[in-house]
This record gives sequence, C-alpha cells and structure tokens, in this order.
Amino acid sequence: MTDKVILLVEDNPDDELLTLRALRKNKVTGEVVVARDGVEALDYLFGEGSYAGRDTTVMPQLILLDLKLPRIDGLEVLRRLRSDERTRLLPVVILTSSREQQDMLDGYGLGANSYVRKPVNFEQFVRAVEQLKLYWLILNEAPPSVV
Amino acid sequence: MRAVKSGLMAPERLKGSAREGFGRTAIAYVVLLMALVLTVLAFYYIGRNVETREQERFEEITGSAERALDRRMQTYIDAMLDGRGLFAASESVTREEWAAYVSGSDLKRRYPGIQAIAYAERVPLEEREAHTRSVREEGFPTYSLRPSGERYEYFPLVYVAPFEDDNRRLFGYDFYSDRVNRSAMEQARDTGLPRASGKADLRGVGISEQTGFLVYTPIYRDGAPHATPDERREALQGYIVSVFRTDDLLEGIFGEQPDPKVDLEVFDGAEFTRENLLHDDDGVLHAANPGGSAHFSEFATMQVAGRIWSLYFSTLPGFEPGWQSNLPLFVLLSGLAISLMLFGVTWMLASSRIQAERVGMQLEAANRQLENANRDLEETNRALEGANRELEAFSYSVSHDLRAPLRSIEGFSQILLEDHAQELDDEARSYLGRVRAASRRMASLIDDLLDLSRVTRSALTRHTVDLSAIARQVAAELGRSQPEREVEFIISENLRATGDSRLLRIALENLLGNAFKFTEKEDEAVIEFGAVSQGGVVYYVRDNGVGFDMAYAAKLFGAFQRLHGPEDFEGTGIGLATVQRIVHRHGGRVWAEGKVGEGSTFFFTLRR
Repeated sequence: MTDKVILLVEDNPDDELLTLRALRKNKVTGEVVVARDGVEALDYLFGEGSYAGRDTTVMPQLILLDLKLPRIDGLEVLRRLRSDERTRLLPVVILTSSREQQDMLDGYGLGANSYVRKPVNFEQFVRAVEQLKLYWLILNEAPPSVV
Repeated sequence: MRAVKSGLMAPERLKGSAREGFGRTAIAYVVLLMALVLTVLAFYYIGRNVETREQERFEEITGSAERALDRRMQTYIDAMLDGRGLFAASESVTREEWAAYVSGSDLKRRYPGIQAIAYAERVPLEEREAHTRSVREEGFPTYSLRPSGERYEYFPLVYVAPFEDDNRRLFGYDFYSDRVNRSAMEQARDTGLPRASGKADLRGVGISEQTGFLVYTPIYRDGAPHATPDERREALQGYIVSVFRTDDLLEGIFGEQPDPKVDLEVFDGAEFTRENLLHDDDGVLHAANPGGSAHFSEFATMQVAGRIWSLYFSTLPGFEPGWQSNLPLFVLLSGLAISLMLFGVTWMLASSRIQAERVGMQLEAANRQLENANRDLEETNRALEGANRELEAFSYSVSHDLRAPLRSIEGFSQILLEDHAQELDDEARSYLGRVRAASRRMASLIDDLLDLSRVTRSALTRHTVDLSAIARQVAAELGRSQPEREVEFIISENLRATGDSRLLRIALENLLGNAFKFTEKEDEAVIEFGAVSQGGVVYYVRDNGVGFDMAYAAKLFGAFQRLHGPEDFEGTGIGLATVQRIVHRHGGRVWAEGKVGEGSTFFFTLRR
C-alpha cells in the first residue's frame, strides 16, 4: 500500500497545498507526485523531459487531474493518456472548480473515471478526499499492469 | 445603415423608370401618328380612286352617247340617201310612189326623230304659175306656194309623207325662202351631200311643239353632169327634205342606262346659248354655267350632216352611288376610330407594362431591403453568438478562477484554526470564522449566479415532465439536508407539464427550497405543491412560514433582492429571479401572495 503513487496535476500552489494537506489528514502515506502543468504530467507518465529515464513500469494508482492548466490543459492530458497503451486504463479523477456542463461531458467523454468538484469549504474538501482515498486506493481493484 | 442607404437609392431608380415609362408611352403616340398618316393616305387614295372611277364611268357614258348619236344620225342620213336612189332609179317619181316608199320604210317606228320626209321640187319663178296649176289639177285645189311673194327660185314641198295631220301644213311650203334653210340647201346643192339646217322653228311652221332641224339631200336631173359645183347648180332638180324633231331623235341616246343621272344639252353651232339650244334633257340650261353644281361635265362637238353641233354633258345630283361617294368618309372615320383604338390599346399595354415594371422594381427594392435586413440580422446573430461565447468563457473563468482564491481563503483560515488555535485568542478565532463564512457565502453566490446565467443561455428542450415526481425528489433531498426538522410535504399527484425538465427542476428546487428555508422556525411546517384550474393550469407552492409584506411583492423576483437579513435566513437573492426566468422562458407567469407571519404562496403557469 505504501508504494502506491498518486499523481496530482495542479497548477495552483494553494490548491496543491490544500490537497496535499487533505491527503495527509486522510493518512495517505504513499508518494504524491505533483505536476504543475499538462506537459509535466505527460513527461512524468511517459518518462520524458525532466522525468527522462524514470521507471515507467511504475504507474500512479490514481491521477487527480485539474482541468485548467498552463500549456497543455487537463482535457488534452486526458485525451493523450487514453490514447496510449501504457496509460489507457489508469484511473483518472477530474478534480476541478468548474461545474460547467460542457467540462463534465468532455471529461467523461474522454474517459475520466470520476468528476469531483472542489468544494470551497475545506472541511467538505477533506471529506471528499477521504471518499476518494477510500474508493480508489482501498476499495477499487486497480487494472492489471499491462506493461 | 445599409437599409437606409438602399432606401435612398430607390427614388433614383424610380426616376429611371419614369424615363423608360415616357419611352414606352411614346410608342403609343408613334402608333397613333402612323395610324393617322395611314388613315389620311387611305382616305386620299380611296377618294381619288373613287373620283377616277366615277370620271371614267362618266366618260364612258358620254362617249357611248356620242357614238350612239353619231351612229343614229348616220342611219337617218343613209335612209335619205336611199330616197335619192329612188329618184335615180326612175324617170320621175310620182306622188304615190313617194308615199309608198316612205310608208314602206316604216318611218315612225324606225326613225322616231323624223317628222316627215318630203320632196322639194325646184320651181323657177317663170314656172311658178304652171306649177301651182299642175298640182291643183292633181286634186289639191287649195294648193298654194308659201310663203307667197316673188323670188328667183322656189322649192315647195310637193310630196310630203306621211301626208297626215299637221304635216299637211308642209305641203307647198318653201323653206328656201328662209335664210337658215337656204344656206343649208345651197351647201347641199354645191357639195352634193346631205346638209343639215340650223335650229328650225317647227312651231312657227305649225307642225310640232318640239325644236327641230331639217336635212336636205340634193337630187340632180338624170344624165346631167354634176361633177363641179357649177354643174350641180345647173343640174339641181330638187331636194329630199327630212324634218327632224330633236327631242325624239335624242330619245334613249344613253342606251342601256335608263337613268344615268347625266344631263345632255345639244346646241347648234359652237355657242351655248338658249337660241342655239336643240335639246335639253332636263330643261335647265347647265352649259351656260359650267363648273356649277355638276360634279363632272364635258364638252364635245360633232358633225351632223355638215353642221357642227356642240354637246354638253353634266352630271346631275345622284350621279355617284351613295356608298361610293361615302366610302372615303367611311374610311376616314373608321380609320380615325381604329387609330384611336390602337393608340388606346398601345397606351394601356405600355402603361400596364410600366406599372408592372414599377411594381417589380418596388418588389426588387423591398427584396433588397429584406436581404439587407437579413444580412444585418445574421450579423447581429453572429455578434450575439460571439457575445454568448464570450459570456460562456467568462462564466467558465468565474466558475473556475473565482472559486480558487475563495477556496484558499477558506482553506487556510481553517488550517490556521486547526494548526495555530492555541496562538489565537477567541476574538481572532471568531474573525477567522467570519472570513470562512463570507468565503462560503461568496462561493454559493457564484454558483447561483452561474445557475441564473445558465438558465438564460441554454437551449430549451421540451418534453412531458412529471412535476409531481420532481417535487417529491426535491422534497426528499431537502428533508435529508436537515434531518432534524419535521416538515410535512403535501404533493399533488400527476401534475404534468411540457417543458425543459432540467430547468423546471431548478425552478422547483428554488421554490420548495425557499419554502423549506422560510418554515425553519415553524414547529409544524407544512409545504404544499399543487395546481388549480383558472383558465389554464396554475401551479402553486404554499408554505406556512414567515410570509412577506405584499408591499414588496413586486421586488421578490429581482436578482439580489432579499426581504430578510442573512442573520435570519441564508440566501443569495437570486433564487426567485432564476424561477422567474425559467417560467418566462416557458411562456408562463409567476407571482406571489403572502402575509407577514402567515406564510406565502407562489403561483406559476407554463404555456401548454
């Protein structure tokens, strides 16, 4: 359980801090890799750029993906994930401020596994993260590693 | 702007059409002019044609009359020459032989113009007594030579045939005594040919009422030479004398045409005087007044037994057949009528064409304006679409970017409270609590604003919606949100409407949510959703909560309008504005009734 990796794709350092705190409060002990834009996220996943030479057999157990990102946005990251054999089946939870219908439709359409809206109320946010941990890291069986 | 511009262009185009219109109607005038010219030409030509034909007919009539007269006179004279043959054939012609000859020639029937044919014997003065005696001895005791008196020679008519009635007065009459006759007789004697006298007064002789003349044919003694005038004077024995009545002679001279409406006047000699008048068909002397009322007239001369006769033909009224003389006038009038008709038709065609073109042009202009308006509309539409896209982008950033700092404010306030609680006094903690509450309120304000804009923007999809079912679900959610409260929901069954289920759900969420919120302080809260029929279905949501003052009823549905302070009831003041927009988008109406402390009822209708 401890070697389970979570990839957090988040450009806002406040949100990053709050999310990491919420994860810690929920006793998630595994490694949390933070990518601050879409390019960084893809580099990590495919072992490119600053992550060149990374052991790509290790894939995150869960990806928490914000939609509004610099350079490559969240939906595009999702599209590329889903079109690559190595990352096609990775669980992706869209974690965003947006409640736009179109974003939800696009997200699910591109193969997101969940869509969670970040509540303003921090207590509620902590509860939401708890639910996610319970479901995706404990209850859910991860897809078998293909590579 | 463009529509106005094209509107300004229209008069210019109309001016152009007016110029064209003048050209078109000018054709009508040209047609009129041409038709009139043709009519006048036809009138002139036909008139001349008729005139020419009538002239020809007149000349035909007069020509044939002249020929007939000539032929007739020839026949008469031939008859007289026959008489001379009688004298040549026998030694002496007796009175009986003469009478037999004349009666045998069927004089009255064949030569109706001849009054008598007589034989005038030459009697020298010295034989006068012997002559008278001899005739008297033949059985005419009263015979005398008239007029009496001594003359060098006498030519008494000794044989007169037919010897009857007035002709007896000719017996013994000596025309040689008369100057006019003597001249003719001398000419006949000298030429050996029949010679006519001038106009003779038969009435004076007492044999006829008619005007007449006499023709003398000389007879020479048998065997006597008569090659020269002198020999003829010597050899003269007497004359065959024919007495003519001109009226009877010229009777029926026009032959086949019994009433040709042509007057014939015959004059002896070249002068058209009453004294010389031999014959006049109608008794009115026209020749003296040539070019009078007669349409056509003609002078002609002919020789009758050495005598010149003048003929004057003139048409009488009625010579031209009516239809023919009226033909040119008829052509003129009908031509005028046709010209005017043609003009009218052309004019009407041209002007209706112009009218049609004008209407077409107006239509075209209207079309152009319509097209421009359409283009403007499309542009507006595009602009609107653009604005809408911008608004969406704006909403998106509001939704996403405005919430993020709020979340930071709220989150870090909470972290402060959690991690540094012991460093803060109660007042500081209370302030942090206020910061958090304000953040949360602002977050829900943003959410409501987004809802409101989404309600306005999104397209309406209409289906049959089970409002009762939605109301039940909303009521259940409300109940779960505050499980400690006891609220009775009375929801009528089978309330259905046609509309957008998502929007109608938002509307019911707001109305029922309001009812739930404002009954918060009631121990026995009752919330009712139903419908009444009032000229259509009127839905209502009723509660027994705090109610409101009807003075503010109109303000209820404005955005950010609140009747209560946040310390009493939470809320953003956007819910009812959202409800009103949804209801309006469904073509319905929303209104409210209430009283402070006695609850409120919200009514709404939806277009069917």
